[in-house]
Amino acid sequence: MGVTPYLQKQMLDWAAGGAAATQPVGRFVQFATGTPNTSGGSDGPFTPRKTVTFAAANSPQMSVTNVAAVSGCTATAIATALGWNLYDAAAGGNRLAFGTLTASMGCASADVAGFNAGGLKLILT
Amino acid sequence: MAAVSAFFAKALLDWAAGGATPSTPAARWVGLAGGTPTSVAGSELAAGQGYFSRLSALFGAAASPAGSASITAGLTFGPFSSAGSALGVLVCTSAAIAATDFMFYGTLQTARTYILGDSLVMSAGALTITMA
Repeated sequence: MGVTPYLQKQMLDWAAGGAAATQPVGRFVQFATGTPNTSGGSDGPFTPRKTVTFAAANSPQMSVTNVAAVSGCTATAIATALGWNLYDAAAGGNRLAFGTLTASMGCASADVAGFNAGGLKLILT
Repeated sequence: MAAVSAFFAKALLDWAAGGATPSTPAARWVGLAGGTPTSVAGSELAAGQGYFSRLSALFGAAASPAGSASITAGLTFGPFSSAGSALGVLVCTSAAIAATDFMFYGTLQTARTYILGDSLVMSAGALTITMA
């Protein structure tokens, strides 16, 4: 899992106090057909982004997981999801974090993708 | 300095992911470690011998995409009243020495051995927190 430069700055400003930080008001996941990295999300043909609710973070594991299943990301074309991106808005907005799936997920058009509860984990190391 | 403590990783994740409501740090204090800090142990110098307090630190706005933030004013520890050594540095949420509230930790670029009367100076910009 990676943190985007946008969220790195927000976290640092919140922690270090050098500037006002914008806390995400929502968290939405999207599947990627490429391998997301700090410079690009490689979002795939899945719609819509789905809202994600996270539990309180675990310490000292430095991780947090989704508390409820996420489903309803519908493929609008044949696609293989390789990764995911987390955004702060259902459309547009800022990308917060990204990662790769433990196994690629091949989808036909109209297939519905998602995560089980606990299946999406953010780890800060 | 690039590492986040376990204590503060939870706060950062809760802030970003919204699963709980962490307290926003009210101030930032810098301390010295006599050992090598880890995510769960700061190894802070004991009070005394000239290490009387953590020092209040001000950081500039974080740089992006560098993912870093640096102090905007210098910090001077000491003068020390006896010999010792410092290997690491801690950025903490309180002034209290040995409080287990450090947010970030790292090792000094060069470990410092000091003697009576020495001071340890961190110039403005010389202490950087990096998340990238």
